[in-house]
Amino acid sequence: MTATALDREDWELPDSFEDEGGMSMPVMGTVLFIASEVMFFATLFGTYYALRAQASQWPPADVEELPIFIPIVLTAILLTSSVSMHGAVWGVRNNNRTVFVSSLAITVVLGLVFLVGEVFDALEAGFEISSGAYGSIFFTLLSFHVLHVTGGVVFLAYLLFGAAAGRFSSRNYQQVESASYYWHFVDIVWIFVFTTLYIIQ
Amino acid sequence: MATTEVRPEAPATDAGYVTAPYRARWFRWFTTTDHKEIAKMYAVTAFFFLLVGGTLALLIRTQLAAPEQTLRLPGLEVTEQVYNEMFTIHATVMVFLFLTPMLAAFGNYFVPLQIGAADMAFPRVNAFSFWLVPAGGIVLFLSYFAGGPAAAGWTSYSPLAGPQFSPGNGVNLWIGALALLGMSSTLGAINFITTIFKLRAPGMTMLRMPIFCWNMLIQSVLILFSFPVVTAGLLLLWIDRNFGGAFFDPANGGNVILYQHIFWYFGHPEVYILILPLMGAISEIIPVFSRKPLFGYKAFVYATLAIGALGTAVWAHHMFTTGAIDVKFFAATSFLISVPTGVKMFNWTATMYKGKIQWSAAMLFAIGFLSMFLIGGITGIFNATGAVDSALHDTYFVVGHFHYVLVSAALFAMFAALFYWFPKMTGRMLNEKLGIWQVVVLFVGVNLTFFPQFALGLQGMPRRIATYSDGLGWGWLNMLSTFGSYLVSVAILLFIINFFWARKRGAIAGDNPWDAYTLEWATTSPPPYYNFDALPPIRTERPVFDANHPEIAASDEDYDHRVSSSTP
Ligand SMILES: [Cu+2]
Repeated sequence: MTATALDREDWELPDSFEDEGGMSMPVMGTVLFIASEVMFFATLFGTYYALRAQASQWPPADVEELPIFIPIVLTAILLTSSVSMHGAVWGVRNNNRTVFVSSLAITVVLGLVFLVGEVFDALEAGFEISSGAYGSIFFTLLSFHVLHVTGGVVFLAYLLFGAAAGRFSSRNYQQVESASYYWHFVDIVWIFVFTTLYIIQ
Repeated sequence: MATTEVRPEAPATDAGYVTAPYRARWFRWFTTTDHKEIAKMYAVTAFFFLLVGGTLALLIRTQLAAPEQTLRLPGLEVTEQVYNEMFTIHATVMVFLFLTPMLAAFGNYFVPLQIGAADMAFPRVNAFSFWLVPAGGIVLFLSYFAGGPAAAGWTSYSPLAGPQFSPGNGVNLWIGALALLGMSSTLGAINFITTIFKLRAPGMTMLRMPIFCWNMLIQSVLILFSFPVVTAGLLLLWIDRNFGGAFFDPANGGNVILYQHIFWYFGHPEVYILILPLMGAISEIIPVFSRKPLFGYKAFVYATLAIGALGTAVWAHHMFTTGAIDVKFFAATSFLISVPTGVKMFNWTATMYKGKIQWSAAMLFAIGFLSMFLIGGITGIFNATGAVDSALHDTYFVVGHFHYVLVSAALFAMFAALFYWFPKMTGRMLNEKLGIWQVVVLFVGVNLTFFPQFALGLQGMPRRIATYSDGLGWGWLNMLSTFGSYLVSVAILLFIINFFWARKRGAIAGDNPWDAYTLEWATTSPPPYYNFDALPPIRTERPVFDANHPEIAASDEDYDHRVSSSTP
């Protein structure tokens, strides 16, 4: 059973371990993280539609129809921020610092405006999380979306400080790319939240 | 063997030699990002919680040993409330704080080594994942000091776990603990998947990758798609409990069956999450001690993929008696999943067929796994049969079934893996004789514990009862089961003795004491900080075997065929 003395002549250590093809490791990690987040939100949306399917009236009779104007404005703001995020990635990829930093700053500001708007609009609703299944799922969906936007804004602000200090370039922008995927994901979730809570009702 | 004494020379880089950054010993454990150190911390934490969960199991079995009794120990009286707390915490500890971290330990140590990498893809995330485990454990056990722990079972069904029937902090802290532990597993899964896709050594194609890594990969995918679901579900329960939510409150438009769907959408894949890595370890051990390659490597990979895929479509077999699901559909998918599982059993036995079997302790544990898993699997088919299940649901038959898989089979596989890999992790061999004694005691122990539970279940003994009346005649079977559980703890004690003995006195292992096949055996035992100074050429799924036995590799008729067929 003992191993014989090995002829290690043709053994070698590769220069680089990382498989260079396809996504970089941080981007792959981010994509997988987003996949887990998709499952998280899928459960919340599944809950919404399951509760809706069994209700005799949805939304319940005592809930007034929600005004849709502010959510539409918020949607426009968030979609614009997705475009500016894309611009930031374009900027850093092409070593265009002005475009990069300004687009990133615009994204952060739009994100903040959206957050304030989303929270104030939710507080305007004439019902609460404890006023039955409808209220529970309404505020749960909104709160978890707010939390995710907040996380995104914090991370983007952190990147903005790095960007202002000149930390990123066309050879080092994996974090920016990862952040952009996450930001687009949060946007897409909002489209679903908006459609579910305000359009379909 | 002389190579073991001297560490291979560290590979030179532009920056100098690769060595671990210096830190004081105690400080190192808190700051390390080395996958091998993290793996050891996972293993020690998991083993600690095995003892905690095992103590609770012994208390439960002692309480049930005789009819109509209330166990009284100094400082502990097993009332019905205490009994409910004990089985809830026992299950939570065993699933989330023992078995899951133990598998993370094996994965952390051996996935990078088996694919020829220097570390995991995200070492700092890896350390964070580990530290979430003790954090989750602390949150769970804080509940003992905050008005008593959760007592609604590991499933925490609503309304039992809701605000009305489980007031207090127990269930809240339980939810918090599970959220932390779920995050740990999810981040770990992201790490494993990225590591396997991005850090395989040149020549290590997907179909040359050790079966253990394949199983870790598919386990990670299952984690990624099921843990976030239960985390969301538990947050809904938390909102119900603390903010007046009505998700699972039918009086206010909620739905209790919804909770069960969410829970079991996670709960069933969780079973595969707990067993796949162990199946992977078994698939490393049986070929090595049969002196043959694994029979049907590709079939095994596809079977694992099939189990992963089907595993997401069987969850409602836990809900047959609710009357709210399509029994036929979920019975059919549950039967179907036994086909790829059967393929695996066939592969393992066919690997042993005509092999030169070496009866090491690791091999005996592996064979123990096969026999225990067979019983666990076959009794699963009873439960999957809708009509039969309506009689067996929530009886000790079910308890026996899942303990055969998650205790009998899982412990055998875990000890097989420990006996097989301990030399690599420490540089010393465990005592084989003591190991074989442990096999015997464990085998008698688990069968004595869990086989009587099938009979009890068929006689109608419900699970989760604190005691039972004398006239039912369940006393002697329960006594047998309790006696068996004591034997299991003797077997675990034998391992602990073996562990401490081997650390000081075990024979020096050398690089490759088993003449094994995969890359972890191409470096020293234990491996240096940077893992490898050189890698053998990788032309098959057994690179180290090929390097050690060039004459066989060259003369093997199937060799060229296997080489070409394992190149995608
Ligand atoms: Cu199941």
